[in-house]
Amino acid sequence: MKSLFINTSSFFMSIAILEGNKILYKKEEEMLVDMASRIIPEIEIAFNNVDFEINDIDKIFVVNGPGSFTGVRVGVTVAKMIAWTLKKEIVPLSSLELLATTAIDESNVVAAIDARRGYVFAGVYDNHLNIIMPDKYLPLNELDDYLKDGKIVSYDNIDGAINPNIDIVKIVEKHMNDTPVNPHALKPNYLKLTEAEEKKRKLE
Amino acid sequence: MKDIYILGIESSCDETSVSIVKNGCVDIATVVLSQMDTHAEYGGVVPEIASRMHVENITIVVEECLTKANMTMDDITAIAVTYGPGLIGSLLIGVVAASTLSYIYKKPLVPVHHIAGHIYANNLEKEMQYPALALVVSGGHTDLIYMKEEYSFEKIGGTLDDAVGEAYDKVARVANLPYPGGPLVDKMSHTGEDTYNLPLPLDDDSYNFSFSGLKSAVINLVHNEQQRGHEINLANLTCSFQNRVVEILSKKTMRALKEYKIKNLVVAGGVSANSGIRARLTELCKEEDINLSIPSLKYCTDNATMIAAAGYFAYKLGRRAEYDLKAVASVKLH
Repeated sequence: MKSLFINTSSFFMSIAILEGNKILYKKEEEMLVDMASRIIPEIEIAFNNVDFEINDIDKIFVVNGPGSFTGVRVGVTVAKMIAWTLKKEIVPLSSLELLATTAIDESNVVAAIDARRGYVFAGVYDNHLNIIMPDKYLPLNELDDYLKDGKIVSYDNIDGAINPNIDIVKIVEKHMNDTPVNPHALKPNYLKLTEAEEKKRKLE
Repeated sequence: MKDIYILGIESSCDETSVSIVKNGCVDIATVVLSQMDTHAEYGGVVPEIASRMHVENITIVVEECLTKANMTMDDITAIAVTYGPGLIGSLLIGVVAASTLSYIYKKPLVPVHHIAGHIYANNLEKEMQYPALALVVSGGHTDLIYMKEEYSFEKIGGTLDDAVGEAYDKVARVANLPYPGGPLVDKMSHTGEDTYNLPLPLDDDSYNFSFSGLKSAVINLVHNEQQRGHEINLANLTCSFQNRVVEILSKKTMRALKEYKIKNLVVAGGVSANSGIRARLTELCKEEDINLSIPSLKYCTDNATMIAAAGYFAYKLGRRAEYDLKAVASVKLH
């Protein structure tokens, strides 16, 4: 079973090609700008480094959020386009669960992404990536309850957070047998309405 | 010669559209998914919502277009995509989708400027003749573009402030017409008479336009009349406004036609749907015996047919993009 892994949900882009649970190629790179124009060239480089073509993969794992709205859209657009046109299976993954693959001593990982104005996107996972608290958009201080048995893992500047060290194999293994979704129906998981929608909702 | 089929993708604003055009002139299949109803609830296009909807719709629209054409990607010669100008978050989706298809199927990727698309919408109905002059009128543009030959663009004048479509939308707001108000102003203008003494904007020797003064004149007039307790005759106001707009646009266009010895006047952009502009230019071109092209209404608004049509000419000229094609919010037509 060959798969392509795509994560463009933060400034840290990762692309990997796997055979079963073995990584054949992996690139992780900080990318502050131009994720959209780098993604296809990076996928091309990835397949130049393995001895098969993009059409030979069976499955695509794509991180569909939460995170940078634009970043998530770039990865999701590429992934659903490939999955639809080449008739490949597609499995969405959570960016927070991906952070939670970081190995730590505590029992739980409080995965967090700074959503600004005192809010975070956060999810709490145990060491086997079981969900303790589902991914949510919430005020930072509401994470306190989870810090007794856990530690914050985040790329962002959040008090007490440790730097992620993501493990692609771990998340891929966990979701290897997930039911694939219809590529047409795959959407980014923003976890947050647009400001215009929020304002409108308040008025109603 | 072998037929050339261009798959065009357009997502620069609030329409997700994909089209297949043969040889730059035959619309084989076009799908346009408009988000207009959604944005109407907000009184204008909300960029973040537009981007979100493009992602949701993009594969569906490509599939529908191929199905409608009864073709597969293998039948396509090249992929053309709008890379700018437009809303950056919206453009990105089309550009990324096009790059993905280009990479997978090893088809050339052809970057198309949105305005080149609007201009070449005209080629879908009648082969354009050169030298041509394009009058581009939309919510973002009011340009006069000299085209010495195929796919060559030289801007000889443009708006110094508001685009003509913007002025229409602002007047619509003052007149309390719902979004998008431009077409409603046009419609209402036919029910009135030119009774308000509005200024003719930037009536000089240049080919530039300026609509902010005219727009302000309308706003001030409405305020002053309201303060005096007078009722505004909206039909007459919109009629007066439209007459000034049509007058200045046609005056400068006709002058350029003579100076540049133009064979074909090409009107392009969303505001080319305006009935006042269409009628006046039709009349003047007939008098001067100049070939006039105005796209039919379905090609006036944003669509991928025009991008695929323009893409054909860009393809023939050897214009190509790599997979790292960047979407750009603002870019000069060339």
